Amino acid sequence: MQTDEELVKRTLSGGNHHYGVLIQRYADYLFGLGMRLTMGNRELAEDISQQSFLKSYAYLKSYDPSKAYKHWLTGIAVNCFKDMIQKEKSYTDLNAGNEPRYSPDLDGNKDFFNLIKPLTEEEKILFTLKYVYEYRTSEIGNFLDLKSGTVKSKISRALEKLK
Amino acid sequence: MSSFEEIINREKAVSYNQRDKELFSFYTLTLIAQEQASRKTRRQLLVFSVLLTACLLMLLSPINQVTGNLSTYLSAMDIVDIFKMALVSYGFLGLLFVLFKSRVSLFR
Repeated sequence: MQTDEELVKRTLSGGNHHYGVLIQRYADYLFGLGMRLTMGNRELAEDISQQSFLKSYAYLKSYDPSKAYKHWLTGIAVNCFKDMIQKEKSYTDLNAGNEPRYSPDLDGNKDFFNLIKPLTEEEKILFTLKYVYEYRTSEIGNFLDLKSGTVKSKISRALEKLK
Repeated sequence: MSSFEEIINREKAVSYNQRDKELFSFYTLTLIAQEQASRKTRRQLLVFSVLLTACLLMLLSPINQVTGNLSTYLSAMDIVDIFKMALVSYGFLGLLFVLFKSRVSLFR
């Protein structure tokens, strides 16, 4: 199996079909991240994952192969989510609604959406990345262009809210 | 109400799947190709409009003045200058040929 870095290299040398392999590899991951951040909105989650892949392709030349492609893509996705909620007022209307609009494979995860409901969008990102995806605070800081200390304090503020 | 850790652990176990990954990939690649094609067309249009403007300026300027200037310029030149000019022109042509051979497109 080709590594992500090899696929990026091949894509840059003119083989767009190699990028298709990367898309298929991370489609579910980005979709899952989108679902969690949008509290179960399938359409928005799909939009986020697609925008992330499009942006990733546009900036592929700036990708540093010494870092994991998945992390780089996560940073893009998180920023796409932030852009999207700024643009889409409908999202806030939808967020005001109570129940998530999808039926997942496993039961019980509505609890998660109810859990993070009181958080701000940024806190939702930080909380999800920290506790569901188990990223380090320094990595989250890189995704959001924040200092590690700021991430820590924001996460502890979010935890306070949830208590 | 489940405990905090329990909810998180349950969420970790959930797997979300795109409806049709192959279709999604195909559609995203199509969007990328579309964007590349539109960018290429925009660039070609820009080059074409610059060339068209240059040509129109040449055509609209007084032709007698242009030919007069050209003949004065050519008559003032000696044979060495003409050879130099030919050398530069053919050199440039050769360079263009090499570039096209190595598939370096002006519009890429």
